[in-house]
Amino acid sequence: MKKETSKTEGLKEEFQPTPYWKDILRQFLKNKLAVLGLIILAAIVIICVFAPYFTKYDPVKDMILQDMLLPPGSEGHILGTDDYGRDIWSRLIYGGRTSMLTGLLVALAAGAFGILLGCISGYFGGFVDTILMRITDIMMSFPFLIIAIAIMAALGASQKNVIIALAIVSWPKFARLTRSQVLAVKEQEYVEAAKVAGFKNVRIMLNHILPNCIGPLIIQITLSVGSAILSAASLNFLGLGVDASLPDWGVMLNQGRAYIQTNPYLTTIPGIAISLTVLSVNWIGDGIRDAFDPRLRS
Amino acid sequence: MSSETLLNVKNLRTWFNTPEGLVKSVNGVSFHIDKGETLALVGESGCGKTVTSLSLIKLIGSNGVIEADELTLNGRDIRNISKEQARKIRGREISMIFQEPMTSLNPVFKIERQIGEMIKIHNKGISKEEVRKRSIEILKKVGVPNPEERLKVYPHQLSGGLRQRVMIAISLASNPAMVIADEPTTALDVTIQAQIIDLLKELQRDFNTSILLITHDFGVVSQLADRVAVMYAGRIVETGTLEQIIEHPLHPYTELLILSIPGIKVKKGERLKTIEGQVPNPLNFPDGCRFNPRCPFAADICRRKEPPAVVIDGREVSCWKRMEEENHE
Amino acid sequence: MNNGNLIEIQDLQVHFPIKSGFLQRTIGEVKAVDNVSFDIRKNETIGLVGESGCGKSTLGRAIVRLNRPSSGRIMYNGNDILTSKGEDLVKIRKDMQMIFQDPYSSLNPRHSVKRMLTEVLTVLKGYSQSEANDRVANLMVQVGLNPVYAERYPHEFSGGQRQRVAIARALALEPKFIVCDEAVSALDVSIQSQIINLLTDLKEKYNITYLFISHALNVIEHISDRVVVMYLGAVMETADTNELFEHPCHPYTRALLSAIPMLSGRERQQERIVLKGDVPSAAAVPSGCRFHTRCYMADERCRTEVPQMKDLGCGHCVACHKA
Repeated sequence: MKKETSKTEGLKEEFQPTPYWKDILRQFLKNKLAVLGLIILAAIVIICVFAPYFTKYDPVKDMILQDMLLPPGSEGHILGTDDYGRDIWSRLIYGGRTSMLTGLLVALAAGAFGILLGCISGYFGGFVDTILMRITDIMMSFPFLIIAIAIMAALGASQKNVIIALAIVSWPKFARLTRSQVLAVKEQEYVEAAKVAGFKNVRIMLNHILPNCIGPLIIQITLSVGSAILSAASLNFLGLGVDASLPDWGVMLNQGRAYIQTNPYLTTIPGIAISLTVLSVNWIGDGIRDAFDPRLRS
Repeated sequence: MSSETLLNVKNLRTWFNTPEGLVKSVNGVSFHIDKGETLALVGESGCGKTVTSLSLIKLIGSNGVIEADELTLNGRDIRNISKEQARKIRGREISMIFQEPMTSLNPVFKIERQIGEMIKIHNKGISKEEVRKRSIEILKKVGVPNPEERLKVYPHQLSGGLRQRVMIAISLASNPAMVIADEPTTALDVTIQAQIIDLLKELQRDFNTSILLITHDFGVVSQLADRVAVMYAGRIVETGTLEQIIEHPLHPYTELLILSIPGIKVKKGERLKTIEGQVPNPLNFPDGCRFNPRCPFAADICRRKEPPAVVIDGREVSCWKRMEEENHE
Repeated sequence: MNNGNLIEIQDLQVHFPIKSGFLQRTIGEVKAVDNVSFDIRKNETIGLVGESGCGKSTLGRAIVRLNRPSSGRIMYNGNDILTSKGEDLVKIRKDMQMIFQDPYSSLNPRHSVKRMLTEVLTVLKGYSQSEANDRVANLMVQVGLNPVYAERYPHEFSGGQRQRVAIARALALEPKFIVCDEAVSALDVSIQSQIINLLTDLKEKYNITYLFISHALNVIEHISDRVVVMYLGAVMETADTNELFEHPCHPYTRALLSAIPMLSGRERQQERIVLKGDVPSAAAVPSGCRFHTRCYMADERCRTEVPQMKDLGCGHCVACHKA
């Protein structure tokens, strides 16, 4: 025993532990694409939040009809104007407020709820599992728009309710995916080893099972951001969302459709904004996933 | 048993180009197999024993290169044969039995079709009735009870032992001169393992087939092999008869390996010998003798120069220490 | 308890329902472990041997409570672990650990060795972070790993090293009893002996009792003090290792032993017994003696009457009409 302690002490200097989260962060920052995604997303968020400082026009009130449908690059209107003569840049950055909020909140809320239920369902199995999975079956068997419309009709039209409705429609996908992942991972011997050691179920789920399911879930979350923005636009289009005059990327896309032949930039610009957001979230997601996976480290 | 040589391999080298670099999985392997003989290629995982056997029948990935100074089957040079010729050899002259009978049988076809296919390939224009008759005959020969009924089932409906019998039946359907048996009993239970070993022996007697047995299990080796070649890190370190290898191993690796397995020579209560360290990474084999980092007798020369294979006591061994001892005497 | 038994398994049954159809109705039962009783003495290594599907793993898993037995009792130091709850259960759990077969799936790929061990130490043993750091290094030395590798992840280790990590994780709780489920079967031959020696050393150092589950008779013979032979969910024979390997009484044990002629060190060139056929399904256990379908000695009585465990003296017990 004595010999071993001295052996241990000799090695102590080399034995410098790195805190877990610091290590994850370091791994994340090593990923250039993920950092680029983070920078893009941060830029978009900052511009949208401080929109008034980045434009002199009001996105709704400043309607100058003689300046309608100016192409991008026109004087005073860097991205041109829409069919009511409103500045597209200011509509874009004001609209980002709603769209980004909707997209990110729906993805996070649906993700959190769906992953939680999927975890419980997959881990405990049995009766709980049967009930939860039948509910998701029912949810997924209806076209999402119909359920969303029904929920909106019950709650009334507002941005908050759009987010709630879309989150309710999206969580079953997460629950399904999480459950199938959990079912595979919980059979692994390291989970059994954790049970034998005497860890509590919550710890086993959060610390041992969930991190090993995270890959596909993160991808699902990033995809949900984009689809939530577009779904919100559909609800708006049906008059169930925010006030149609309020700027929103989805709304802008819809309005531009009439001019797709003559003035394609009306659709292209909000389209690029959505794509850029989804892409940056996607890169960040990949970065998070890889940072959590020690097998991908060199 | 005749002492006619069936297969002769000299300085076989199989290298793979991988993203991590050149992997010299097999690097200078020489051996021969006589007709009706069983040669066991023994070694731990990653030592290149499976790659060696697959190289003989050109069954390696497109990133692999096979070279040899000599590679003859029945006196015929098979080094530079075409893919088509290699395929024919695989079917007719050399066949294989794999470790995992569940994955080496196609799960979506009935047994009848899988055996029939082999028979049809080798007997063009044979009638359907005849194929059936022969299939039943072969299944009987490998000891499958109720062969008529077994033809009608899918692989998953058979037990592990029966699947391995069917696998053997398929590999024997072409009446090959040599069978490569790659860990044929590893996935099976002990009592079933004994059945399969008996079966292989019996078939070998009946057909005078040569067997190249690939395994890590000295228990199987001792029951089946006539001669043994011990592989380590892509090379054969020692070849000899079963008795020689087990009772008087010459190479330190063989000796330690046998002493590290409970029940061969180590008595109960005695401490097992261990071979320190790990099996080397094929991307980065040590210089000199490849066993030197784990060898308790390693001397300076072992770290510098690869030992050549020399004949000592009528068998081949590659070890500097042995050579030195031999020279002193 | 003074009889020297650490664990007493009494009439243990582990049955799994076979479910089928839309409503998942139970249509049958797999009797994975069927009326098994034996004792495990303090500080001994008991070998549990049998072919795949004989229920040896199920039994081992039932002891560490990974399976729920249908009936029977498992007494640990006089407490029934199947009915223990709360504090008692937490204590028992720490005393009993398990080492698994596959060192590639028994370690969480996302946790470094250090994190894995620290979690056990801080959460379950109440160590402070700095105490845990010292103990991690100490544990790694115990199992023959260099503590500088503490920050490494499982995939950076070889199979043998991973198994050492798994052993360190089990040791972290300072257990009194470890179930080794085929703990060396997946390892290379030269690595196997390293791990067997390590387990033997640790046993002597910390007075650990092992239940060593394996299909490899040579390993069982080497490591065990006593051996339990199982077939199709039931115990066929138990005896001290030397007694069992020299005088096997059950025809099944004899067949198992004769299938491995390599076991030398003693003259055992008796006739080779090759059993016919396969192990029957545990969902349809044969009547009478469950081995009679493959037994070369079976007669009418074996087909109808279940043999009871007989003590032949010196703790050599066998369940066979012919013994």
